[in-house]
Amino acid sequence: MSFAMRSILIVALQMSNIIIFNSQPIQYIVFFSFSFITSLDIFNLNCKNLVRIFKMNSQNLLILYLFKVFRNHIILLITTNLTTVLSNGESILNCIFDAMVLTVGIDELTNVKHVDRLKKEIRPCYLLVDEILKSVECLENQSNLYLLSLTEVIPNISNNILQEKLYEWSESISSLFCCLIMKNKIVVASSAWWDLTAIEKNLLSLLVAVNSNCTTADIPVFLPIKSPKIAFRFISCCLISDIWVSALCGPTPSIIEFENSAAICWSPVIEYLKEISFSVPQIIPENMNIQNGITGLMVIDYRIGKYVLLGSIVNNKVYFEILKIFYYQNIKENNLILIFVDKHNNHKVNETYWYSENYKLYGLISDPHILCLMTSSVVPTSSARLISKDMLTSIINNKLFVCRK
Amino acid sequence: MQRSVSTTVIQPNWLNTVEGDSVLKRLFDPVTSKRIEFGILEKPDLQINYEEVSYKLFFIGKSGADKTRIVAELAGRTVSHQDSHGIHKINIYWPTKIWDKIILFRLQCWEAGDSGIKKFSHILPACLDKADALVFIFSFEDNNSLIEISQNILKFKAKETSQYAIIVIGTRYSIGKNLAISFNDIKEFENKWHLNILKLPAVVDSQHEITRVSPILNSICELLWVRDQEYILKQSFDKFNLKE
Repeated sequence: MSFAMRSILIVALQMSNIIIFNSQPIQYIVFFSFSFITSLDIFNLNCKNLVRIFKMNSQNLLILYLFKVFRNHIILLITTNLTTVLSNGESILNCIFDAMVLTVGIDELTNVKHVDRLKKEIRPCYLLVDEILKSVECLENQSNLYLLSLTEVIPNISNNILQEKLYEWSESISSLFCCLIMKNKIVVASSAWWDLTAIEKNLLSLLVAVNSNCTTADIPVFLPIKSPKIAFRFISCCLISDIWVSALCGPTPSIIEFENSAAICWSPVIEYLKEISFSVPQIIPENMNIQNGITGLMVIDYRIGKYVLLGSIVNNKVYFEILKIFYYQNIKENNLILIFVDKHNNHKVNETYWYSENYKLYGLISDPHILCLMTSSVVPTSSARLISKDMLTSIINNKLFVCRK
Repeated sequence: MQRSVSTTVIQPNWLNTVEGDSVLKRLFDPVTSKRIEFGILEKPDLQINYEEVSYKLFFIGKSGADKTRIVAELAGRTVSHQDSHGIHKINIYWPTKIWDKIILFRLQCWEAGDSGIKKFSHILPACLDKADALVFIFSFEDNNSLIEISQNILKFKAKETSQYAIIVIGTRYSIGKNLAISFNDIKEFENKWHLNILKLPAVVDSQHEITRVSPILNSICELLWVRDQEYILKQSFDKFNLKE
């Protein structure tokens, strides 16, 4: 059996009932021996926190088993050979559990009456789980990294007009929680949307992405933190290619009413939507007095849980991935945010940097923002520090990242 | 219940003509060569005079009957193997020529997962509300799926307000292969319900998607069109009788 670069998630409800999430890119299923399954039950009884076990398989490949017990009887287990899982394993397992709650609700998971029915009902969450597991592999491959706790937003360009339209539409469908999404990035969202927890916002955005194969989707969802027992209708509708409007609704409106109100409200601004769709506005605006040597930047608002990526050239994909990895490995994994906001900690760290042969990365924490700046390697570190401070002030003044919270 | 007819009203080979081909090209992305996925603010720009008609179809079939895959295939979208959660709706634009007029059909295909229908009471009424047709899906490799359709047709026919056209599509059809459903089973079913089963053959790599789906889409459009014309005719006739 080959484990090359793959992760597998297993959910064990009781000793005899095991659901295996076979992530789509994975072409094999692991069958565990009875003794191994029995050992799961031992963990079920004795451990409450994340457990990590390393084992060598027959091919001398180090395999990592990660367990966590949720609600006393649901064990989520990841088996993988990816070292990146080691550091963010718990957040991955939490996210997967939340995806399961989002799909079937907490009551179904905690009071399992018919295991076979649950196995059937939980199937729609496979795609979400796939996406979450892919994020682990992306971190390993350094490509298309998906940050579990943050939502990517498109910088403010014509957002005032779109924001007004969103509120107008929000009233017409009687929903406080609504947003305009483009390729898994929030263009504009209502205040109530930003009040959802980071994981709820992320899972809902992900739900739009995995259901983008249709024109309109009306999906029952349980909000893992805000409403784990009562389902909402999460309706998403494609306005034009790649641009979706989504809202959390109650029994009304019907899908047809939802579509009609979206068509009436958004058709006057179709040109703005096309503009965003055709030219993703992720270029650093000229009025920000961009200094020579800056190739890209990432600004994070960690209290709201959102981030924006900007680059100096049109094709910034590679720079963006490096910036995300820098944030992930240098700031998040080292818990710099926690150290910074901890009032009792005298040793506050609010700056960090990396350098390589081709580029330099500088991180600056200034509550509630984090700036990750990417410059060419010729820029001295002391200059990068000054530029970072200037850029952060400029971005805040420019309202490029306001997004109407 | 009307018997579905082979396409005699719709010109079956019109898409192969110069006019049909130029209209069809407007539905395809010239860069990706895939059918354009129109949002609700968009519609095809056919650059020709045409009439647009819209119908709501609800796809029904047991869990794993490939409802999602069939709707995706008919829409020319990436075939998905996921289990549907909640209601999914895809708009399919399909151009036809009826007599001397170009008619663009907008088929609103509604589909919902089996477990969702059982768990959430609002899903089935929403799918059936103002539906023009019920599309039943079965697999030629599963005998039970056809039996279940008979039960479902009875169930939906029993509803007093039932005005739905009934369409049945069989998937995984392959000539010369031993199928779980025999020719006699099909004939028996068709005679019992007075309709023709539409067959979606197994995928052949070299076949263009339009060649594969056009007979089915043409049949669906024709059935709905004829049903509407009969309804209009009946209404006019009733009005005329009242005046008399």
